[in-house]
Amino acid sequence: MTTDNKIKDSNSKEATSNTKEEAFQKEQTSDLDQLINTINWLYNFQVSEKYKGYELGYFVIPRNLRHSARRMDRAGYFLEDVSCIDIKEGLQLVYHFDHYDAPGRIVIRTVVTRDDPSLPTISDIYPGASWHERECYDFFGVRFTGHPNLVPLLLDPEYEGPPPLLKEESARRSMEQIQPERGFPEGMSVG
Amino acid sequence: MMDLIFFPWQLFVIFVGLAGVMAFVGLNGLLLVYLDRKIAGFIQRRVGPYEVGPQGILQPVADGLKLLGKQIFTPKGADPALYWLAPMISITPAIVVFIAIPFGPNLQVINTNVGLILILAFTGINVLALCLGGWASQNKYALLGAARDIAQSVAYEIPLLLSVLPIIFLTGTFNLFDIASGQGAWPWQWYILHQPVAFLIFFVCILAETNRSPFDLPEGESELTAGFHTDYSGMAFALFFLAEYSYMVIGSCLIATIFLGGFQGPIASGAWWFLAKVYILLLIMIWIRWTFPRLRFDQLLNICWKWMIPIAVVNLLVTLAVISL
Amino acid sequence: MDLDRRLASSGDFYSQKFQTTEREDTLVLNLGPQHPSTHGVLRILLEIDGEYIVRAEPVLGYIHRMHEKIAEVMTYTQFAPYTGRIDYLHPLAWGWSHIGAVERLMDVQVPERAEYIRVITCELNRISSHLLWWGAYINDLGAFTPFFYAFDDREIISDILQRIIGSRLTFSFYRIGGVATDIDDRFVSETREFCNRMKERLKMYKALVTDNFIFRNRLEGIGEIPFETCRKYGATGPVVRGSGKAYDVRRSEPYSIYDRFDFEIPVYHTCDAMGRYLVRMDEIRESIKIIEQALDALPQGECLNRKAPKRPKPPPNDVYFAVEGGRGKVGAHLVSDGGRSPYRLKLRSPSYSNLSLFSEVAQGTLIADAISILGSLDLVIPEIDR
Repeated sequence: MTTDNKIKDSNSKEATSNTKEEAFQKEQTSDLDQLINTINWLYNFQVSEKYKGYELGYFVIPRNLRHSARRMDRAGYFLEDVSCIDIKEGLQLVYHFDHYDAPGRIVIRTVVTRDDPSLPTISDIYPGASWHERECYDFFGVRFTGHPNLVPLLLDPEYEGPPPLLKEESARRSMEQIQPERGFPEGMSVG
Repeated sequence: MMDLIFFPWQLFVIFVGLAGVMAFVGLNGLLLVYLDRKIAGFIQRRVGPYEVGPQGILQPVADGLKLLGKQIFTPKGADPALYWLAPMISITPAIVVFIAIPFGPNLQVINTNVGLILILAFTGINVLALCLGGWASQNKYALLGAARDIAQSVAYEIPLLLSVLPIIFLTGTFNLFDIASGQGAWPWQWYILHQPVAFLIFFVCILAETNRSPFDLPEGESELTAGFHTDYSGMAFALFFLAEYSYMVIGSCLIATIFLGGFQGPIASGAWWFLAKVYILLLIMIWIRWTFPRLRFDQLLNICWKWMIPIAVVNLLVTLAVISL
Repeated sequence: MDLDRRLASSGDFYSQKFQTTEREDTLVLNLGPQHPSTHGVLRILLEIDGEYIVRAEPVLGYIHRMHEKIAEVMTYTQFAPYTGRIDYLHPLAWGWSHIGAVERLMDVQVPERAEYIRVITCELNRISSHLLWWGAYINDLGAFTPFFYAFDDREIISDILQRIIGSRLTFSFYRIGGVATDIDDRFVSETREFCNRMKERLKMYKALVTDNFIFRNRLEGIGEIPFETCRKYGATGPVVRGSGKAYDVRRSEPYSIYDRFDFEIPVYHTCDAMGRYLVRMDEIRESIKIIEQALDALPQGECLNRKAPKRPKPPPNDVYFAVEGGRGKVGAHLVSDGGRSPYRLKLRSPSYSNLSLFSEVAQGTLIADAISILGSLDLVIPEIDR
């Protein structure tokens, strides 16, 4: 069940050294190293999601995910679901939050590389995220560091193949292609 | 001549009686299965058994044949000796105790002075059977069912006995025939009016002792799949099943004898009155089964220890006081 | 002993993992996947101390069919019938969530009459879903008869819907831009008749079951789910409404024409199984109210937008469309890349979130109570496993 074997990095780009890299925690170094080279615009920002069922959208780096989740928790939001989209840049994790009293869906997105698809768990902040994260682990091979029980949930634990929802190289689209007009900041390069 | 004198008439009567009782238990089981299913159908706005024979009357026979035809097997890990002993232990007392029940003025196998004690003692053996069955199956659900059954049966034995005691003090005998004939022919002469509280407690305890709804926790199928008989199939299951119905009949017979005047009726006293009373009680039990949800385990024991036993004791004391006056 | 060792080493991956943290004096019980009261193939590993539950862990996936992958290889219209198989008790809500997401993506206008038909059929379906839950739940508690009474009424709904939809269980009725077939006068009169009948039946249900002494004792104070637990686990639907929060997608993000109807959202603050039970019973009444209002205001006209695309090719974007299903918030997160089939379809299942709080709530309860809690969550296993 080693996820490393399952995930084949198709668009492996050479990691070049970056000065920003030293500022990040050690465990995320290789992660961000990849990310910054492929999508150099990745940081916290608000994107326009005012239409199509969303109230607000945020883009965060994986390191800030727990912080955002904690803020949503403090604001009284509940976790609707955690979903994942296989895109050219990597794997886009989508966290949907909603509020019982002041409805309006807030989506938090983040991207991890296909090379090392791991990001911190939020299952200690939202216990309900535990199963959603296990589902993402099942379907996409995303590893959630710190998850207490990251074992297959919906798939057979003896299943040996690649994560079933990963797309073929030719079928992958970039973020700009599937989520246009989101007001991503400048410098956003695709591929 | 000598042979004739020493011919064991008593033994002969017992054997004939036992054969008759076994036939009665078997036929009664078939009839009760049919009634239970048909009444369930009536209560649930459906037809019930319909296909086998006219109005499905032969359905229990078909069920019995099916159970007879099933392969007999012992589950892996089960203790074969205890596993097969359990259904036999369960059915034996259910048949034996019928010999002490006065069905009619002249229809009783043995008229013994300890009839009531005999019945109450023998029916207690059933707990052992269910316990063995649950334990020997090497199945967790069966074990839980057996554990529930022991706690339940032991608890409800106490109010059961306490509610019979007032009647024994009133009549001064354990002889069931005397208890039955001591009551008059008319309903207001029956002990149910002398001891309504004892009657209610006794009835509820009989329900609990026979594991009937709403006290069917040992086999509560939504929790323990089938409780103590989860692993039993074929005739072993059929024996448990038959024993359960027999215990229902025994319970109803006891109630009819002790509280409802036994075989006595306003006109033409006889076995038919007895059977009519028994069947009315059985129908009430079936009616209750298809109406009420199941109690929870702690609620079941709470009802017993916190309500039934104190009330039964108070009832007994009041009766004693009235008698001694 | 050899036997003990063999039994101890038995079990699959989940059992063995579960047993590693077992206490010395407890018993591990495998509730399911074949168990009378898990209503399907849900499996729950229980660690019990006597009859008290020390730990509970649901094991899922026995009816997992990977609907999300199926969606990616189907066109938008082809996938619609699959949605009826996700939650077989309230299939119209799932169908609506998928169709609604496509419509929202493409800005398809739905004719007025079609919206009314959708509301009427969806609410009828909700009643039938609640009725089945009602019967099955009381069956879990040991009373068999109400199940048949519930099916008596459910049968009428099935007959009504069968005439216009063609199926009785896994409906696929909604189309992009409307509904498949128009309703006729007979449908209207039969539905009205059913509504009147159902009001009388609800009184009987109350007398037979809700006011039953044993039944109340099995529900009141059992399985208390505080609101905060609901929020942490993302519980929706009757579960959160039974915990004192009037959250209903029909009100909070009104889709279709739900903002035109006058109905109440039943809320109970007891947080226990009784609260969830009463919420559902009240919801049947409220659904009848909505149906009657919709039948009164039913406009004439088309039931399908003729301009709606037969083979949709929506623009690239992602949308979220949520519907209030019988069990809570049904959501579809649809991502399109401009092709004929979805790029990604994430289905948000309410039972999934509702069940995930079970292991926390079940701790320290009796097995019988755990069954009662499980029933009060109203689970549909195919919806959890998808």
